[in-house]
Amino acid sequence: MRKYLPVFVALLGLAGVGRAGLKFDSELVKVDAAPEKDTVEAVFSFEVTGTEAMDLGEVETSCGCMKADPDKKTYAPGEKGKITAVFKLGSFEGTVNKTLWVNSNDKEKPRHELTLEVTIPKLVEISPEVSTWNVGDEPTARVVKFKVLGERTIHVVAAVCSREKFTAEIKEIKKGKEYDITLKPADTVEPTLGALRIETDCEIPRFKNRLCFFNITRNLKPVPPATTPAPVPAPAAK
Amino acid sequence: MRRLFLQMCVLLCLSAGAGTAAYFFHPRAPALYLVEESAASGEVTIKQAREWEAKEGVLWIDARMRSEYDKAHIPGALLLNEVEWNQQAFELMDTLGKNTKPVVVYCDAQKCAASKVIADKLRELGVNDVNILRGGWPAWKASQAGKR
Repeated sequence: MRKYLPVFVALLGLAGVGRAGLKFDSELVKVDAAPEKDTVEAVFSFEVTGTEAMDLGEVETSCGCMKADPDKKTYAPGEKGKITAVFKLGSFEGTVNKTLWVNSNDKEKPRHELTLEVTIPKLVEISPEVSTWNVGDEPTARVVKFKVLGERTIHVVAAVCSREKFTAEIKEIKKGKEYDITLKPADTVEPTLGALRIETDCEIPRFKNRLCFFNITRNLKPVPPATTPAPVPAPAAK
Repeated sequence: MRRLFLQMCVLLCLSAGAGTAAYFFHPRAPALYLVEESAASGEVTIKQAREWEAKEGVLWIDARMRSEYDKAHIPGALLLNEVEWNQQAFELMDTLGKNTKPVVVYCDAQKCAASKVIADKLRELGVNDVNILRGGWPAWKASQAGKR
């Protein structure tokens, strides 16, 4: 039995060497996007391990907003390559994670999962994102706060409601920096869902118009009444 | 050799007989055809969605990119994706607000996460009965091919 051991070891070694494998420098790539750009590019670098040539198939993505392609289809053993992902920024803001799947003839791992993390700076902050009323509530006004972040100045030029029964009024708190938009329904008789478009003079077209939403709903949990101290029980008469 | 072959035949006949008996007499015998994979929570299969469509109608939301939508989409589907959210959502809010049908969101394929993102956003806004089409656009296309 002992005399066959080197043969087994050699066979195992050959089996390992004969494979084609992919080794990525990093399976997570983080990129920062400049607000002015429409797209951002990220590169996933890899090396082919083993002794067989590596064929890369289609690179699938978790979103139509991202396309990814290898620089070629077949790589020799030991060769280095890269997959370039192009992410469309569109309405995205903040930190966004998207997944890529690389298909290959790697027998051990035919599919590699990669992650692209894109950070898109927030230019403004809108709060709240959804203003809600209950059906039957007093049609009171609600204030939406629009605040410009960072050094940039952005002026609010108009506020348009998607529903006629809502009105929006802009109040400048600090020019180019802070605005209050007062949102008011004419009534709260029936459920209503709509959007408020805040139009600005932002020089970046994709950030020119911002949205927040309003909703008159039957589902909203009732606001608990203001707490009043519980009545102190009178001492029992003797 | 002949004996071995006969033994194999006997074994095959016995197992086929057992299988047939189980199919006919077992109280929980599985069907002899592929069963449609059930949908996860928040998802709907193409079969269910089609049943809803025939019964009460469905508001289809296409979460793919505009270029894909322009090539082909489910009849009546409205375009609403992550990239153009700030433009498209404003136009759609009235329709979504007045809608009483189940909403079904779809995107490119099973792995596509865009339909989940859009469905979550709609739910957060208070849109009721929002579902994700399991298998996405390919599932719809396959169901169309099956109809022909």
